[in-house]
Amino acid sequence: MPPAIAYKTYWLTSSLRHFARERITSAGGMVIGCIIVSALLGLDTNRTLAFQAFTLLTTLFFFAILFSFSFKARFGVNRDLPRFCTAGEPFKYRITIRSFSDKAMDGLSLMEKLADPRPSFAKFQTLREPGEEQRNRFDTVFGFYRWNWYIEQRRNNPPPERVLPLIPPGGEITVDMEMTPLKRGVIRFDSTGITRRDPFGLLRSLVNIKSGQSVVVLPNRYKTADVRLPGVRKYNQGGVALASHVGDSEEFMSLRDYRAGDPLRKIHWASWAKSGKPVVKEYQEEYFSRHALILDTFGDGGKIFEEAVSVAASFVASVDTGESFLDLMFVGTKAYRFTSGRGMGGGEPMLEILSSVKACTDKHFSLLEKAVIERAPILSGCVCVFLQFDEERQNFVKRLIGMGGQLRVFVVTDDETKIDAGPMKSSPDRFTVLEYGSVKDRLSNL
Amino acid sequence: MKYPPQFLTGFALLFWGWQTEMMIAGIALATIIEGARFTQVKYDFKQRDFRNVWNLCGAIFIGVFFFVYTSGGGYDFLTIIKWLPMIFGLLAVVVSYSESRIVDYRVFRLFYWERAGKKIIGLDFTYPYIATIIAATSAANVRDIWFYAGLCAVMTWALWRFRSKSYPVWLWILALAIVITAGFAGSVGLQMADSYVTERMVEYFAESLREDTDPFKTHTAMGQLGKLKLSEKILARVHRAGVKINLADPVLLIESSYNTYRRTAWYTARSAFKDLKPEKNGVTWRIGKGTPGPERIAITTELKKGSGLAFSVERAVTFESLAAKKVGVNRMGAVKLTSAPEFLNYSVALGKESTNIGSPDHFDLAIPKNLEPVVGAIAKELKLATLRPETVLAVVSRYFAEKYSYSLELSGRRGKIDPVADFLLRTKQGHCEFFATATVMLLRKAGLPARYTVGYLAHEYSWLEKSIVVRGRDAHAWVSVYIGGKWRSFDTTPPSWVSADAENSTLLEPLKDLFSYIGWLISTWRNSDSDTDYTLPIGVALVLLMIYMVSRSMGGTKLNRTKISSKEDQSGEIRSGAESGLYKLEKKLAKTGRGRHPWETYSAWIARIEDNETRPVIKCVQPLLDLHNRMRFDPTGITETEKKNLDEGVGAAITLAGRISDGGS
Repeated sequence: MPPAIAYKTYWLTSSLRHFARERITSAGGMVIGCIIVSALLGLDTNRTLAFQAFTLLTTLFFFAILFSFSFKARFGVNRDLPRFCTAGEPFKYRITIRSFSDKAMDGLSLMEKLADPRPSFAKFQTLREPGEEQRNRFDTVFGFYRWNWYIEQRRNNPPPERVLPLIPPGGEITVDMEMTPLKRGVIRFDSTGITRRDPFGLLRSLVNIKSGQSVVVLPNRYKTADVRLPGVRKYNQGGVALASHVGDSEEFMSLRDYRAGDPLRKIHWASWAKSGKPVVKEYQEEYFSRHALILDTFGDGGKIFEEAVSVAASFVASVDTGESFLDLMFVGTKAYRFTSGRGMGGGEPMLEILSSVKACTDKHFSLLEKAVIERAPILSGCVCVFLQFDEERQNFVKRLIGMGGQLRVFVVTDDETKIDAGPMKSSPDRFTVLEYGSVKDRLSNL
Repeated sequence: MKYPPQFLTGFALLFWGWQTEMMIAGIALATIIEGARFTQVKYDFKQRDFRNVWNLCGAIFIGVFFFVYTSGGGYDFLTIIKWLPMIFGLLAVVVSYSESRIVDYRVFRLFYWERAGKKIIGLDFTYPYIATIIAATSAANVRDIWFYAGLCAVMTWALWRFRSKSYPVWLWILALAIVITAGFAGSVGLQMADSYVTERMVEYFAESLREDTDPFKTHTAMGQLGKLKLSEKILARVHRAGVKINLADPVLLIESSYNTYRRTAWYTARSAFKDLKPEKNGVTWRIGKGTPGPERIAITTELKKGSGLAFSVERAVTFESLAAKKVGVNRMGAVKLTSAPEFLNYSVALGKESTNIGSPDHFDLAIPKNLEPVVGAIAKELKLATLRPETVLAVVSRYFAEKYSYSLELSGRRGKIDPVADFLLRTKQGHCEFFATATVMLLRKAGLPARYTVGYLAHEYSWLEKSIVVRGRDAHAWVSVYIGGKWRSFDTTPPSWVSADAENSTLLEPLKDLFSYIGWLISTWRNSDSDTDYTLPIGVALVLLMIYMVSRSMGGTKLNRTKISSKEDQSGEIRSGAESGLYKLEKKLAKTGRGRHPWETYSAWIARIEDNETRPVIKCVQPLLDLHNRMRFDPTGITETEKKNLDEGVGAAITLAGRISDGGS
């Protein structure tokens, strides 16, 4: 367990660093550096004149600090955020700032603040960095790399500081902001800071306005070539309606004469009364395609897993399901299945789900296998996105092939040479290894 | 990030050149660096090229450092500081003639500069370079008002760019004027405070530092109040050599003797120095009579400004390997050097007996009137007058050992009572000065000529240095008594004084000793006149190191020359991707009243200005925005083909924009 002193040290140093970045400008940083150097050089006032620079710069910084206490204005802020954005791609939004001051304000800047990515002490004690068992004892106990890894998972770069135009007294202005999310998930905006620099431009005074909002960041997606989903249309009892609901529901097509064995509930009483002989309703039972997009989540949550999620998202976004359904299946805290297509909603809800998919470290692949095999009879085909292609996964693929399933298998890896096609050797056009770093090119050339 | 203001670097360099009297260098550097503003020729330097130049500057710095510390011609570390603008001027020149001017901070790292992500975290090297110039100017130490004036000018000029627009200009000027005035007052106050503190510290440590010992007078700490402060600083190193010698045996190092006591101070009467002539080799000096034996005591120490008293030892006959201009001795046994090296390394050859001290006279038997009653009473009690000289020594030694104890506490004065009398009658505890003074008086009362002798007891053997180290706290006072026709040392201070003084050592003492030893090794090497001169091999090694670093620096550097518009270069903003044609299109459309607001992204801008007239231009530009953004923000940039596509596309858009009339919103 990491000692509390280590946690407090990391917390304090990160707070200080954040405070310095927020409050000290680049010019202020330079002045501080010059103060330190002049203090060292000017220790003996008889040998150099650096002590004059020390007193001058220290006085300058002192006045900058005094001015920084004088910013007391009040503002209101309204942010107009999109619902979704995509990891790695910039998105724009507007922000309106309203001034409650009776004086015009110029030279102000706007700084957005995101939610604090640091873990609590309780959380920090239970965290485990992927691959932490390979670290030495000291690092494992003090958890420095664990701390950095956790923050890196949650950190996003806020929009750069934006210089604001003149705000009239009691008036409002609207500015456009642009931000590029680093990774999928949710961006939580915590507050908005309006800053004003001291006359010398060394320090920023800050007025914080609480403005919590969030944006869902969809996974990064690549352009894929025209991918045809494998498999044929299969009988789905109950038709489209039953595909989306539970219970009997059939599509009425026409009337015909009663035949022995027809259920009584199908008799059309009005027609019998008219014609004098029993007449039954005939229904159309639908045949259509249902495909599964199987996402392997049994990894350590590192870059390979993120790339696999991007690959799955790329298919969701670019594959035209047409008249078919697409079931996204993966294991998180349990086995999940989400369906899209044919009135079920487009790919957007599925992308939203993929934005929050996490790696599964406490369950076994057999859970996913079981879930897929149960639905295999009604699946036209499967697109599998694996993190590896070990024996377990190869056996799973063999089972699906044995059940008549049409497959398209993608394996995301960092070393292409380690992957053996196994049961997919006979269908090399349906087996693709995506090596990390060249996924984009491979997908576009499928 | 903002460019530094025009000509600020040049001004700073000229100021530096004037103050350090290196005007030619200042003018040359200023001309080259500021000349970059007037030329359209720029080079496409990459971060690796900056790193190579930085390595080269480091190699030059090492060379300068070696030169300064071996030349011995009055150069010191301040010389290196003064030359820094020249040393790092090469990097400043390269940055000035570079397209981007942004240097990744990792370039300056000692190790692992190529690790971490590709994103550049840059800084403009010019501002740190200006700070270096000012630091170098301060090292010139020209004590007039002009340094402060120049400093204020540079600071004002640099800060103008960063001023906040929230305040009117008059307030900025007023605030700066107050800062400059207060800063000047602060610097005057700081200098006065420094002088005051320095004086107090010199007084505070005066007793425990080996300052220039006065052969004619020595003050004691007797009569003071408090605790005797002792220094753990190593002042000298002693190495014994000879037949059957225990290397760790203690040695008494003598500085001088005194024969007249008055009011807590000892003086010397009739002790003028007589200059000696060296022997034929010019470095051996005969101090006493007799033949030097095989026993030698080698002493290394520092002599401030090359003049002062040298350490001597009992039975010294000759001083060997002593390269001094003048060596004088007096009848007290003090040896005075003039124009000797500041780093002294000499050897004392010992004989069978002391022959370098003059015969006693009436001063060596005098007892001050105020001590006569006390000393007389004790001498009577001990019946010293009836004893033989050797027995007197034994009785006196036993008397002090049994009835007195060692202490560093200073009990001050009681009215007009002499501290020695107070020591003998009341306190019965004190440090070596008390014991030595009291012993001298008692021996004189017994009819034995005696003198008060000061010096150091070299007793602490250092296994690291393989010699005896002498610290400030080893300063000692004892008695020289004349018995049997010769002078000999006699010490009644309890032997526990050595361990009692050592208790005052600090935890940092071993670390300080290590640094002291390293410094001593360097000094020994620098001052050695042995046949083996290491300057050349070390110099060659360092030149080879420099050549290696230079070749590493220049390997793989290709100069790709580019030409950029001087108007774009003169803007107040540093923009990577400044050569993107989209800026030209922006200016073109601005003339039609469709300019981009500073806070607008390009996408938002073209969306805003889209109308029937601009639609063809927008259609042409829209696909190019991604290329432009990558050119600006992507650390890997864009390929030549993509740049060509961008230029062609923008060119076409500019042509279309030429057909648009004025009057857009």
